[in-house]
Order: sequence, then C-alpha cells, then structure tokens
Amino acid sequence: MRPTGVLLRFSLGQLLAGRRLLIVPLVALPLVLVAVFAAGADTDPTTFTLDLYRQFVLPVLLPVVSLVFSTSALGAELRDGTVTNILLKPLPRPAILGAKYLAAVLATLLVLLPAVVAAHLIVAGGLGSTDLLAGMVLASVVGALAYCALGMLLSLLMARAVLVGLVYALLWEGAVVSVAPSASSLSIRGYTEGVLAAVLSGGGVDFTVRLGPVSASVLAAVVTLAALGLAVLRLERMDIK
Amino acid sequence: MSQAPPTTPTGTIYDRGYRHYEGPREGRWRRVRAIVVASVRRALGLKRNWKTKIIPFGLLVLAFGPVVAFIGIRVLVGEAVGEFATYPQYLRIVAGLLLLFAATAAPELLCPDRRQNVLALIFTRPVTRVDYLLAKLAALLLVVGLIAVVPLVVLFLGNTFTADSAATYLREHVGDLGRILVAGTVLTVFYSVVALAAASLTDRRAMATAGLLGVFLASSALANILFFTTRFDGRRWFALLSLGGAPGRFVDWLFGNGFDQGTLAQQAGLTGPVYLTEMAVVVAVAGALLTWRILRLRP
Amino acid sequence: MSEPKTAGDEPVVELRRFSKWYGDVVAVSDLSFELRPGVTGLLGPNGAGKTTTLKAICGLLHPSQGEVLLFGRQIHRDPMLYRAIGVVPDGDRLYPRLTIRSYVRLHAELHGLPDPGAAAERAIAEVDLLPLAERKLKGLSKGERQRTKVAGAIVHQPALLILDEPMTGMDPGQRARFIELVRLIGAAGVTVLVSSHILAEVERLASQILVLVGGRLAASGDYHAIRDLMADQPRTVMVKVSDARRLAPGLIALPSTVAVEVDGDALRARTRSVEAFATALPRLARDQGASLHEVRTTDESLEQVFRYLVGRR
Repeated sequence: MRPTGVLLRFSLGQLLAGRRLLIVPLVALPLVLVAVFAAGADTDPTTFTLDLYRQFVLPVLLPVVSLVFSTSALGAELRDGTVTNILLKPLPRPAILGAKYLAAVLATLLVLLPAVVAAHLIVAGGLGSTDLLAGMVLASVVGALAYCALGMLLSLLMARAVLVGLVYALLWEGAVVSVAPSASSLSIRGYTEGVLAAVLSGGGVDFTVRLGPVSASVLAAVVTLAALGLAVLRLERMDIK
Repeated sequence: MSQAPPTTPTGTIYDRGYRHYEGPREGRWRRVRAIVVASVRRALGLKRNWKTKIIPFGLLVLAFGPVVAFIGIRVLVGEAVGEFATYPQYLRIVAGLLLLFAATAAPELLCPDRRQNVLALIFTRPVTRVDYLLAKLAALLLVVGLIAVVPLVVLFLGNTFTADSAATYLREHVGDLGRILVAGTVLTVFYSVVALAAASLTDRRAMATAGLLGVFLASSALANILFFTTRFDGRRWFALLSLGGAPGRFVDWLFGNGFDQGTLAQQAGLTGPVYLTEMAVVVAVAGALLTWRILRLRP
Repeated sequence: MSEPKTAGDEPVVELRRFSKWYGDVVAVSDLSFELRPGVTGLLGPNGAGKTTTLKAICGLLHPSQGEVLLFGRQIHRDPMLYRAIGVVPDGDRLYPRLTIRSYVRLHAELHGLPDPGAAAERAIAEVDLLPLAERKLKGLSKGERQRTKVAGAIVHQPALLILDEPMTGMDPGQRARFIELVRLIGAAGVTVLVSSHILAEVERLASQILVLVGGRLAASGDYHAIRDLMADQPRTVMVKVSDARRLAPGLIALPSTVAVEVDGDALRARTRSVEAFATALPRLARDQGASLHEVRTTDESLEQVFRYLVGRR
C-alpha cells in the first residue's frame, strides 16, 4: 500500500482505537431509540425524521462529532510529540494533512451515517422518502467536510481547539445567526441546511432556509478549501516541538 | 591551695549528611486539605497566568455583577426600581453559569494530574484514592457552591436592607432564604458530581468539557424532539431526558411558580419532586462512575 | 543502503551560518559546518543548542537565518530526501498501544519499502529486540524504548542517521552493543551525527566532534587535534625511567616545562609543548645514562577538551 494509504489507515485506526469504537453505538443508540418511539406513535415519518435531523443531528451531533475527530486527528500527535513519526517520512506535508483530514471525515461519517439512516428506516418502516434520505446523507457529508476542515485548522493553531470549534458551532451558529440572519453566510449549519432544502424541495418538502442551493454549496466549498489551504500553510511553516 | 583545673578545649565534628526524618507528621486531614487547597487554586486559575483566569473570573463576574449593580442602584434610587429578577429567575441564570463553570473547572482538577503523570507523585505518598476523590469533590463543591449560593444570598440581603422595613421583609421572605439555600445545595451537588464524572473519563480537558456540554445539549434537544413530535400518553416522561432542564424546573417548583406556558416542562406536567428524584439518580450514577474511575487509577 | 545522493566529496549535511532565535532568545548563532560519512559527535552542555541544531537538520524547524542543506538540497522543498534520512529524536514519541513489531513495520511502510515485514524484522534484530517484538510499547523499559526508536530509524537503511541522546536509559551492556552498532553503521559509509552528554561513549564512538557552547560552535574536528590547539593548557606527560630524580633538573631547565613531579621511578611533567619535551627527553636520558621504560600523555580525554571549551565562555 502506498505510504499515504498506510497513513490514512493508521490514522483511522487511531481515531477509533479500542474503547473509542464505543462512540458508534453510543451515538446510534439515542437516534435509534428515538426512532423506535416515534415509529410506535403516529407521527408523520417524514416530518419526524426531518425534525430530528434539523434539530438534533445538524446543530449538535454533526459539529460535535466532526470537531472531536478532526481536532484529535493531527492535534493530539502534535501535542504529545508522536507527530515526528509521520513528519520525518518521505511524504509531502499536504499529503499528510490530507490523509489525517480524510480519516477524520471518514470516522465522522462512520459514526453518523449508519445511525441516521437506521433511524430513518425505522421511523419510515421501510425506505420511506428517498429524497429525505439522500438529502440527509448529502447534508451530513457536506457538514462533515466543512467542520472537519475547520477543526483541523483550529487544532494546528491553538491548544483547546475543540472548545473553540464548539463555541463557534453552538454559540455563533446557534445564537448569533438567529439574531442576525445576514451572518448565516458564515455558518456551516446554514450551508448544510441549504443543501438539505435543495434536495428536498425536489420532493415537495419545503422549509425556509436563508441560503439557496447554489450559495450554500459554493460557500461550503470555499470555506472548506480555505480552511484546508490555511492548514497546509501552517503545517509547512510551523516549528515542531 | 587549689587551682582551677585547666579546662581542656573541646570540639565536635557534626554529621550534616542526609538524615531520615523522624519528627512529627501531620495527619490525614492535612493531606486532604493540601489537595483541596491546590485544587481550588487550580479551578480558579490562581497563581497562574491571566489566560487561565478568564473563564472562572468571567463567570464569577457574571454571577455577582448584576446583583451588586442592582443593589447599588437600589441604594441610590430606593425601592422605586422594583425587583430586577425574582429568586427563581436568577437561580436559573446562575444554573447556566454553574454548568459552564463546572464543565471547565472539573477537568482542570482531574485531567492534568493524569496527563502530566503527577499521579505517581501523589499516590506514593500516604494518600489513598478515597482521600484523593473526596478532596477533589470537596474542592469543586466549594467553588461551585460559591457561585450557587453566595450571589443569591447577597441578593436576598440586598433586598432586605433596601426594603422600607428590613424586619418586615425578612419576616415575610425568610422562606425564600431557606429555598435559596436548598436550591443552591442541590444545584451545587448536581453539577459538581456530574462534571467530575465526565472529567474522570478522559485525560484531555478540552474533550471533557466538550463532551459534558455536548451531552447536556443533546439530551435537551432529544427531549424536545421526542416530546413534541410523538403523541402518546407516556410521552411526558421524555421531559426527564433533558439533563439541563431538570435543575431549572426543580427550582421553579420549589419557589411555587408554575412553568412557563408552552414549554416542554409545562406541557409534560411533571412535578418538582420528580425532577429532584431524577437529579438524585443522575448524581448517584455519576458518583458511582466517578468512584469507579478514581479507584482504578493507575499512577 | 539507499542510493548515494552526493557526488564525490560533497558534504552530506551542510550548515551555512545557521541561526535560530525565538523572540529575544537566541538558541543557535551563526553555525557553519559540514558532515561527511563516518560518525560525528555533537557535544555541548544543556541548553547549548544541540537539539535545536538537530531539529533544524531534520527539517522540524525553519532557520531564522542561514541555510541547512542535506545532500545539497533544502529538506523543506524536497520531502523525498527523507528516504535517505533516519532520525532518533529526543523525548518519548512512541505510540503506547503498538507492539515493537507493528511500530517498526509502520515506519517501514511509511517509507514505502517493498517488503516492510522483512525490513522490520532485520531492524529489530539489529537492536537485539527480537525476543520482545510482540510486547506493547507502553510496557517497555526506557532502554528498550530507545532501541525501538533506533530500529524505526534504521529500517530503511538511510545514508544519514541523526541520533539525539540515543543512549539515555540504556544499561552498560546495551550501551556497549549500541556503540558497536553505530560504529559498524558509520564504517559502512553512513553519515552519523550523535548528540550526547556522555563523553566517554562519544570518545569511543566518534572520530570527529562538534562542540556547541551557548549556541555557538566552540570547536570542531578530531579531538586530539583540538587538544593540541589548546596551547595555554599545559599537557601532562608521564615518564617511567630508571633514575627519575636525575632526569628532573634537565627537564625543568626546558623553557616549555611548567612543573615536574617525582614519585619513585615515575616522573610527571607538565609542559606547554609536548613536541619540545619529546625531542629533549631522549637526549637527556642518554646523557644521564638512564633508560626510559614508558612515556605517555595522560590528559587526552575528551572531558578535558570539553571542560576547557565550556569553561572559556
């Protein structure tokens, strides 16, 4: 296997090593339980799943899981010194960052997607609205890509990166944006909602969002690439302890 | 004739080498106290640089500031100003501050000892793990209790002394004072034990804080979703799912207020003692988890 | 061994006026030297800048000023150079949950070696860790961890090997074997740079030394030659001769002699010029009819050199 592939596999193993793998059922459990309850009651499966996703997964689960993984992917090794095992190798630093980033994104999706899909299947008693499923998956992927890029950049710049990232995700995206809607162009949650709405409006489910599909995807891409670019620059310039 | 015998000059060589200490030693109480004092200092960011003081002192300012300002205005302007917050309202605000404070202070108490390998230093002294646990718990209770109880007591005293008749106010509201103390104690124990349990799970402070806040947020969100989107009888029990909601609801019940219209609490219709029981159960589980984690710490 | 990257007599490592500072604190100042195949020792008191220099060579730091060239190129521009470089850095830097075998194999795989398993086995065997190869890293002693790091650093048979205090935590037996290993590597044409406090080992290990004091290069080269240059430090010569006392006056008369001690049949002289002393001694002995049994200088140690250089600052 090529060195970058080895690094990716190794990093993924580190993120989900040993007891950490418990995160997968731990996150899946509430979602699945919720779904079981909802399936028992008479709720409209589409509304329920949509609400569950928009009020729980998007604002809380997605940022928290993404930030936890992405700030540890490289940050932990930088802080405890083991990063030299990776840096002193014939791997260009952008490739190293890329492998770590991809590992964080994959770990996030591995934790979130099965749970979300399972919850949807349980509530809908079957495949249900495939638009909703597709929308949730796509929005989760976009969100994971963006939050993980942010987390990687923050972990290269400061010590308590996960907290700073959470303050952004929960305070800025939660409180500030509801007060000042124009700020939603700087909100990853805004982008994910925009993507979700875009997929769903095809199937007739509408809800108001502040960003149209084009702006949401473009902004998400810009923010993700900018964060990764800055992270690469930082990794190349920094002195390693 | 007697002569004084000539005194022979004397000299001694002193052995100043390393010696074993044979003197008195302080007891267990002093040891525990030492850990408590050191932990309190750490939680408040004392004796360290200004960056570590931001959060604790910031939260202290937020907790005490409004009260002090209000009393000041009351003194100047008189009773015309009216109450700026009822006790339960202010307690709710304080509860939010307590969560933040405990979530940042508890990891400071437990995580650095593990991460920086100080445990070997501590446990090779006659300090048992039980002592260590009790000391850390005491330290956090002290500091969290400071924010939970003191601002409200100050508010009460302020109201008393700026009232037209202090004695009347006191007589009428002495029950409130009791409730303040009870609520303060309950909140202190709840947030402290839960935060310490979370901090005992990892050796990285930021992760412990993030995890704790994440769990509180997630539980509230889940409770809301489950309650408002399902339609069966038992759904009112979902209100218990919200860890963050329980303290505030208990306080509202304690002071005899109803819940705000339209909220989950009001619609679920569960009473205060239920929330109190819930908190007690959570504290018991968290306490067991914390004890288990500390007792199996390997230096 | 990986393909040699330098043509002819080009230095493997070259520092040109390398300086590194952090705000107001200067860690290394104006350092210039060249390294070629063989073992070179980097000595200096704590805080002299040894680790900073080694990190700069490895590409873990950027110079504040000056250049650091490996095989004629800057490592920041060319990460492929790492194929030919092995590093044993300071500090722990091991993944606690891996076994020795998986750790060394990881290094082999990250280097893109065609048969990482075999390379790992070979490296583990070279550091005598085969019997422990399935143990997890967190349970090992310090010396065993050091040797694991070394195995990871030599698994790809680099042309340049950098070791930062590699012998910490090793017991004397392990040290002796390690020194042998490094000498073999150096003799095979690898350029080795070892930083150390343990002067006795560096004496046995390195033919060339670099002495850093206060961030500056205090001396470089063969340490015997450096000793010779320390002109204001008189050398001690011990002479075993049949009639020491009769030889003494003649030796004292030499202008370069500082002092002469007589002890039985041995004579200890301190002289500013070993050459002058060595030239005069046979003649004096012959004139006195004395027979010389033994003549040697007794303070050649690296420690002398080191203390002298450090003390000068």
